[in-house]
Amino acid sequence: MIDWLIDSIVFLIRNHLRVMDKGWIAGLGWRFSYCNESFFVSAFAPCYGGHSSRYMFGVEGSGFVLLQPDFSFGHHPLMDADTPFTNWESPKTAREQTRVAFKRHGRAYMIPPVNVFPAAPLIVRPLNELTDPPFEWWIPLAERQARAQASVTQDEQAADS
Amino acid sequence: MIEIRGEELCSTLEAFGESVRIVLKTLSDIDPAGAKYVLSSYDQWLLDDRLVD
Repeated sequence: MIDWLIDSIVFLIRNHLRVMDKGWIAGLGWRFSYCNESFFVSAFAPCYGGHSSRYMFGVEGSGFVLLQPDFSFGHHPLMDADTPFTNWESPKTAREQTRVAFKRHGRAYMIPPVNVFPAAPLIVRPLNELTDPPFEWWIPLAERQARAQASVTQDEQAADS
Repeated sequence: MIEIRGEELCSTLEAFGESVRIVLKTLSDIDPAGAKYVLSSYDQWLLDDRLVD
């Protein structure tokens, strides 16, 4: 009985919480996982300009998804809790040094304003990540296009009335 | 590192976002740690060299 209960709970968690459900992904608790490992995911593509942290330095025709197991950060001094604070003048931690290096090269990236932040918006960043709203890549393209069209229609109707 | 190959899949943010969504969803669906893992879907994924390399 206990085994059945445990199996059922595990099944529910794996099939209803960890899968790529749109609503779940945008939340605080979601993190991409594979083989029971959680990953830090970042994505790079030619559509990003030279001012972006996801710039491809002239590579064309290909984009990349970088999957870094969270445990790999344990090999570097990055396992401390994330923080929105950065000592820009005198960076001490690896996190601060990374932020300063990107900024110095004209590719400052959006730093989450709070300690605990949803992971999904950081995977595919907007083209201008310091000013643009989060890009909702987890919503299927057709659905995003339909929403955009509905918004335009709504604006046109508002302008007409 | 996963390469998404093809101009049409990564030249705009809209297209690229959709490509990343499909890649991560594909990986999630075939997650060997997941209850729904079946070998056939993994084989199918390996054959789909257009999107995932």
